[in-house]
Amino acid sequence: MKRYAPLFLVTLLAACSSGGGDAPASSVSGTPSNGAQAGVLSGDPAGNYGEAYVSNGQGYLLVSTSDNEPTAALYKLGPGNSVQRVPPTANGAAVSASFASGANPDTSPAPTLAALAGSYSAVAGQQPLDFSIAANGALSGGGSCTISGQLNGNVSYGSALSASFTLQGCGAGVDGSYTGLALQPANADPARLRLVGASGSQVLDLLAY
Amino acid sequence: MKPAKPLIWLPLLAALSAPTAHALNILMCNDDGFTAANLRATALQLKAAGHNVIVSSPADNQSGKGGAMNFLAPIPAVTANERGVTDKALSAGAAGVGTAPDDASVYYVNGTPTMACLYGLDVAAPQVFGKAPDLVISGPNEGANTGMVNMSSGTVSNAYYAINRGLPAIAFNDAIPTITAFASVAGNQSAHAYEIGTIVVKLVAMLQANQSKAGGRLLPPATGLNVNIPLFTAGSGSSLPFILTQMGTATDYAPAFYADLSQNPLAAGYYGQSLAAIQGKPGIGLVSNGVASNANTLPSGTVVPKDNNPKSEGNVLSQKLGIAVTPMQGVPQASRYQVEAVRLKLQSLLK
Repeated sequence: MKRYAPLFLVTLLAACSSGGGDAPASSVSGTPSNGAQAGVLSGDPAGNYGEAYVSNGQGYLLVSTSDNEPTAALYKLGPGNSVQRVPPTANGAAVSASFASGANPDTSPAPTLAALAGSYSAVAGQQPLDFSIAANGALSGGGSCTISGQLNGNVSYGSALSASFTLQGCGAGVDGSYTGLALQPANADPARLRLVGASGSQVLDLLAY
Repeated sequence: MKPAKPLIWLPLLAALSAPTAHALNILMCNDDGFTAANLRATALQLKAAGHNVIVSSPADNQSGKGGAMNFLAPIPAVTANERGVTDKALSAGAAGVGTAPDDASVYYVNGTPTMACLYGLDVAAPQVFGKAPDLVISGPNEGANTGMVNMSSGTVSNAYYAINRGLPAIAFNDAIPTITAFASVAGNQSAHAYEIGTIVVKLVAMLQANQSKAGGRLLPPATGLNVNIPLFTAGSGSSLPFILTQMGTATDYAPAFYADLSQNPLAAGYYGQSLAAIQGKPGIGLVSNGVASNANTLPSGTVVPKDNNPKSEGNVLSQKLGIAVTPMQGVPQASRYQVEAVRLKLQSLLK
């Protein structure tokens, strides 16, 4: 049987990576169990800068090359220590991301819906997007590029609120239905809102003003 | 067996006498001139720590020249006005580029700070190290460089150029602005300049000790440090805490143009009993725009925005909270938040 063991392993990995597009065995270590934190990330090809937004072990880890670059990949940290990386790596290989916590904790609370309510302007893909957030957290607006969705004032991950939103007419690579986060980025003047989410294998990191 | 014992010790002795395995090739530059005490004492401290150090600095005090350069012009000979001459290290008429008479590892250039530092990068380092330096240290400057005045600082500009060459670079600045010749403190280990040098050595050692972290380089790519050392009592430099800061704009040296320079308190204090020399005459004065703001002394109608952010290096320094360490880039790249805001404004024009 020994001679067949490597073949069996390859078959298993291939089966895992051919499923829904997610890297099945990816793992994340070092994220705080609660709160928001920025820090150095190692092990992920998308970059070595990470931002964690977590509540009771669940939430999101955003990955980019620096704090000056948009999110290039994100990890959904789900129940039972489940981890889903979006987008999956090019070859479907598992990624073991290690987050160096301990620095840059963001202890600010998640914004209230009342604080986020208002009118915003953004550029989604190459399209201008003017939209608003209602007092109940509903997202709506736009012209040829539109956004609709909902911020959940009852679910927060550190300094971010849970959000789901859909972009339409904004172009390939942008259009989609996203689940992710809404936050008021610190030291980001003049930006007032940041929406980050994943749709299928697509990641969006939108700044609004 | 007796003959074997000395042989056994030879490798150990050789190891002890050779530079340490972690010795860095360090290029030091400044804008105060190659005879400045802080520069030269720090170079000696770094050498004593096992590093290979060369210095390439202006022949004259070039404070406030920022990144200025004399393009496409040969370097002129030294004149009697240069600090290198007034400090009695050089004679008027000396070649515009050369080495200090008392130390062949110290190069001078009769030009601006960045010209002298580029000489170190492009000529001296390849000759001495056979390659680019592992680290560029500019300063320690005679005086603080914080916030908005950094763009006028030769000390900081040297670091900008080195960063843009892809090299780790650190600008060090001593809050004491007194001009001190190295010759007046040479060998006096208790002198302030030597104590400043120990702080530089300490920070470099920490970067080396943690080089393997966060990418395996002394500093992240395209990143340097601006370090400002506050006023401290003699002997207490080693116990100063280090504080990670932001550059911000706060400084005690925010420039503003005065139609009557004597109306600027700093200028008036500088000239003292010779105040008549500047009364009614125009010139650049300097004010504080940080937590120690005296912006009320600005010329009528002039506004210099205040920066009261407690994380700004200028405010940390003026409150003597510790050694301000600001990570910086080599180019004033706008943040992602600013870039996207501009995209929003120019969207219809952009390709």
